[in-house]
Amino acid sequence: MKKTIRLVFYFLVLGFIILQFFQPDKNLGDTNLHDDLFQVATIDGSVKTLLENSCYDCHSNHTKYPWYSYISPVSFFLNKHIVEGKAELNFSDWGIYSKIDRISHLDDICDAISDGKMPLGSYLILHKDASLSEENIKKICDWAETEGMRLLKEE
Amino acid sequence: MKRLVSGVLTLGIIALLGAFTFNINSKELNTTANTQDELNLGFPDDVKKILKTSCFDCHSAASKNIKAKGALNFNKWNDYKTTKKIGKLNDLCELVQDGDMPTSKYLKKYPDKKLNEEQVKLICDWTKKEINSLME
Repeated sequence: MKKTIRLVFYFLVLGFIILQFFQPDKNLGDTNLHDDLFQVATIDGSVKTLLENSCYDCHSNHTKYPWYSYISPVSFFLNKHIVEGKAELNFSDWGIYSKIDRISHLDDICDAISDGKMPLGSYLILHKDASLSEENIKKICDWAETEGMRLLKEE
Repeated sequence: MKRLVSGVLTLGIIALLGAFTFNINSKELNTTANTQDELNLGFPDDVKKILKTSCFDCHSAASKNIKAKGALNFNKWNDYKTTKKIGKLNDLCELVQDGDMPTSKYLKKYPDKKLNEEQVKLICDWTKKEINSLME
């Protein structure tokens, strides 16, 4: 009996080690290229910092990976969020979006952070500094509204 | 005597069932009547008819679904800023096109509220037209 337990344990350890050889592709594209929000939109430094800290890990082509993100199966769990996040909104592709999509995203950004839907709860557990205060939410929402209005009036 | 008692009992049950049914019906009628009266959105009739059938249950003032109402409340439509209207219209087409709305949970309860392709096209044609006129 004792021998069986030990054998099962060895198998689990071996499985875990083998699993480490399987990793999803990392999201490590160039930052701030010409289609990035920061290049295309009218946005000031303080809002940039907020977006970079709280949104860019899953909503851009470049993720700042923490050490545990290199461990399977955590890496797959993280990758799923990044893929889904980028499909919904990718700030690195801001310049490619139509004006209508940009206005629409700006409105959704304010809604999502005001409702506390974003940043994701699972992301905040290990990224406490990504949490947005009331004040910062207002800052982003004010910017989103101004930028939306600017786009609307732009010829 | 025994027959009388069972007769009264049966009548009572029927009355109770009747009252219950009526109560449910009148509740539904009420919500529909309210939203219809309050909403003066200026949407085309065919669009409004679809929205009323498949969306207003959750996305109007009478809704008890706070999350849905918060995301979009047609009773507040006229108060929305132009950018918000554009955003919501854009989302509306996307969500019905992808079949994310009405939600599958809701459709399980009300299968007849599912939008067919023709209705989705009608909605999206309208949202695009509306967005373009708002962008001007």
